[in-house]
Amino acid sequence: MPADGAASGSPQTAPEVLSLRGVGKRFADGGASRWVVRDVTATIRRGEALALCGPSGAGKSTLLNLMAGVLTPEEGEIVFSDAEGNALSVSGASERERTRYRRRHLGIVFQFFNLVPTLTVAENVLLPLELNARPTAWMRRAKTPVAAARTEALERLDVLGLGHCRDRFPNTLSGGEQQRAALARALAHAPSVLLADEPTGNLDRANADRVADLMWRLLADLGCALVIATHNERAAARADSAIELG
Amino acid sequence: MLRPALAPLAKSEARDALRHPIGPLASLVGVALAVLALCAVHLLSESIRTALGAADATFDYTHVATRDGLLEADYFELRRRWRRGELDGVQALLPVVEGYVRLPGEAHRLLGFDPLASGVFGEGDLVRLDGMAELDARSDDADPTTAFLLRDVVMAGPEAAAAIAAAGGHVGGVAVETMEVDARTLIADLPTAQRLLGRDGELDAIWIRARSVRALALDWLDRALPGIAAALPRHADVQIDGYRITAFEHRQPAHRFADASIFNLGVLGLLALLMATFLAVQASRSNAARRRLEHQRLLVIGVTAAELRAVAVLEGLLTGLAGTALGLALGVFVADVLAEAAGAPAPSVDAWLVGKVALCGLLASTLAPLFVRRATAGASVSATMPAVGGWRRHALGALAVGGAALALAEGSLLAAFAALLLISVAHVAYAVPLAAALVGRSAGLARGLAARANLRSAALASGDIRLALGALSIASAVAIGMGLMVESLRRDFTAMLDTSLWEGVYATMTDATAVDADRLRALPGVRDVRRYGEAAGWLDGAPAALRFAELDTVETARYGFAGALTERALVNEAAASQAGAGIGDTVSVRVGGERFAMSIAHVFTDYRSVSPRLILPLALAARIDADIMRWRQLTIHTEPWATRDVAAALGERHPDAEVLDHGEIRAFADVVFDRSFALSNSLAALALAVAVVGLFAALTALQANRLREFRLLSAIGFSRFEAWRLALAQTALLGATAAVAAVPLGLAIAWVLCAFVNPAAFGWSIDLRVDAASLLVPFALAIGGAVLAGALPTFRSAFRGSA
Repeated sequence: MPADGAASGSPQTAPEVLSLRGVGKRFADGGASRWVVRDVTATIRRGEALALCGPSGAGKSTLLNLMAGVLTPEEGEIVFSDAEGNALSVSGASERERTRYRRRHLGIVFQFFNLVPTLTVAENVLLPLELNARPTAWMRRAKTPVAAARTEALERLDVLGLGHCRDRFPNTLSGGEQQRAALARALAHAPSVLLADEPTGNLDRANADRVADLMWRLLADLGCALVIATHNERAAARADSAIELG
Repeated sequence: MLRPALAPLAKSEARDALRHPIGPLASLVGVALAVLALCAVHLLSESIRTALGAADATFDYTHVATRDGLLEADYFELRRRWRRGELDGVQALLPVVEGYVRLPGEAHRLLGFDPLASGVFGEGDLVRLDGMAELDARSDDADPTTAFLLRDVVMAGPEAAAAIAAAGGHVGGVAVETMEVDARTLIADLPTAQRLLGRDGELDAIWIRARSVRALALDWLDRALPGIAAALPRHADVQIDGYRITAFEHRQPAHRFADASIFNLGVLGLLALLMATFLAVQASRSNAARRRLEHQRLLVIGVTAAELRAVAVLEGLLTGLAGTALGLALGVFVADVLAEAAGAPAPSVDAWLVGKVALCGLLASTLAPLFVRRATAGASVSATMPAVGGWRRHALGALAVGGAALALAEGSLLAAFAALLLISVAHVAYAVPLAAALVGRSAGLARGLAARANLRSAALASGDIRLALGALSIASAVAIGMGLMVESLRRDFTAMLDTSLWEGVYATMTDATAVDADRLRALPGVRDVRRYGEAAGWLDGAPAALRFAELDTVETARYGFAGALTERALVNEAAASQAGAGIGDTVSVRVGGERFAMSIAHVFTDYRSVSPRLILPLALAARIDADIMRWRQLTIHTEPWATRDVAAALGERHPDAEVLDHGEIRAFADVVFDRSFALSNSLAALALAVAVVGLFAALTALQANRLREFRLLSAIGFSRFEAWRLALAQTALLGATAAVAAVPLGLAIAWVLCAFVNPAAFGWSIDLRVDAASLLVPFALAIGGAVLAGALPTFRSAFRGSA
């Protein structure tokens, strides 16, 4: 495993999607403050997978939140580049820009509570598309790229073995089904990067393997980059590179 | 069995309260506001009663027995029967003669009775006389007051005594002494009064003091809920052959009016208490839901459920104590201010009041934890839409509706309020869940997924905070019901003014007969000039106000009757109710020594008076003793353009006259009308405020549980502001749910108030009309209140959850 702040792995042929330069984040801890993440440098390219490893409290989730623009770093810079080569400094962007960045370019899967409990599975999956669609196009429900994406996203539920669960609410699904639905929701709008925070940590081994297999397969199909925070050594080993935190 | 674990548990509870202070603070505020309402109503009622009590002298007698041509001999016969034990339940008898004695400038009511009769005067006398010490020394009688009254003397309150002193110092040659009691009635012993009234040997009534356990119980009940005496018959019926017997309470419309008003206010005070109880239960539920895992762990390691409950009750007790103390202080202050503004005696706090409000406050805050722990122990988040059905709920609803129907059929004031309570139970059981279920079911119609999620989430949340929503809904419904009733009454009141008020000038003066009517008629724009005679009389043995007027078609139209009257009378609803008579019936009227039977031509609505009033043909005035008649009222009917000039001319010629034009009277009437309902509207608003505080506490707890949901929304791409807007829209939706559910209940309340409560309490009939403003204002207040209550909790969770 590489040391803190270093990434290692695949040949650097694909374009960069996300790059971190000397990123650090500290939190207030009583009267003092504590660095949770410090001096992390990494580059994630399209189609690559980066694993964030380390014990509990090492800062894996914090680093994911920094990449997502939910948190902003105290030091260093995080830059996102889209397919057209436009760069966005996530760490320096406004709240509004970071929200738009998450909405358009990121898919996120958590360990728990991945679905809006008051939307059915199909509605959960379509939610990112609705957020990204122009309101007028959505209201017309015309044959637009959005409509095509809707069809694709719903078909993906069949691929994930959730075709029969489309109209069910999340609380009626098993843990494995919920995580697969969360994966479908996270990938519905074809994001550039999928950020996954212990996506299989709450599942039994069989379900964990199934979800992981599906995730890797879909990522390959979509050409999407993956950053995964995990304790699972097998999952980490499947990644192109890894960062050991803590 | 409680164990020493209680101390660390209490410490844990205290720390939790400090970390999450909203719930306990909201309970405290709710209890304080409820106690404020109860306290203010109680003190005001005491103050009003003190003022009314001073004006009457009934010496705890309960009934009045009358018959035509009643003589002293009848009293002696009745007393013999009583001593032989033939009058069951009667404790004392008192022969009474009543009438008016004319003094320069004013006629005074004179009450004559036998001072030796039981209980009139006794220890701790209510009548203390000036110069008592001197009389004590001269009298052999043990009761100096009695001895004094037996002399040839008339006793008067300070104000009347001063007026009499200014006019010569005696009444018909009889000396006048001053009582310390501020009574408006002059008092004399029976022979003296009979002589002054010119009615030797005659009586008007025999007062009866009936033994009544119910009256005693009612006195206690009345102290617990002031004014409830107006809602319940106070005394058992007394039957004596050959006599008409009525309870005193039916002869005291001012008392009945005050009691009914106080009872209405008391019920509104109880509404605030109910809201506070809902609030405390909701806060306790939210606390239990938030700490469910913690409590489960404690149970696993050996803490008992009773210990958990005891700690929660302890917290409720402390909250209740603090809230009660705060509410009591505020209530005393508010009552002081209101009493001063109304010119009523300053209220005083007694142990009874403190005990009552403390009990109410502590019950509201401590009962909740007792019920809540078990109820929410297994609660969990579920996306299952709330259901309306369930056999228990159907049974409860059916029972409530059936009970309400039975209560309304009974028709009394108390039954009407019981019906309102039962309808509210049905409302909480059905209307609020139904509205919430409809919100949830309508989610599929929403185009946007965020809106759809919000609708479903609101329906789910309505289950978690159903008590707070129910409270908001009931408070809104009361505001709607009160608003509709008041506006309906206002319309009827305005219609009455439109009918009864001519375009013209209204004057009150010492002697309207001194006015030269012909000269007034000669003024430009004057269409008519009328004088009105007034006298205090008796209708079927009970006091009534009599007005004598020329009842031509123009005059009778003012009372809503078509046609002229020369022999028949117009009576108001209070008079018809007191005499138990209607159109076509004949009633017995006495004024001075004159008695006549009158047929009722028409019963008119009279919102200006709760006392019996009769309008009699002018020809009858000639039969009345001139000393008793007063000609103080003058009305000048004018063309619209001449009103101001005529008023000025009349004022100039008669400087002692109080001259008002119809516009001024109408404006004054509107002010009095608004003032009459200011306090009840304030109490309804207070209940709404308590409900909003409750919703704030409930939403704070609810939103704290939504942090993960907001985190997810943030990850998907919602900005913090969008998440907040979404959550705020949800609270508005919850407010709208409560408001929509409140509309049918509000209409039901308005109907019960107009059709049952007002006729039973005040003898007024009101036609219910639904106006948009009365519906929309509480509706908007409920939604606005919900948004206000939700603004901070949703802001905190949206921004925390997204961070």
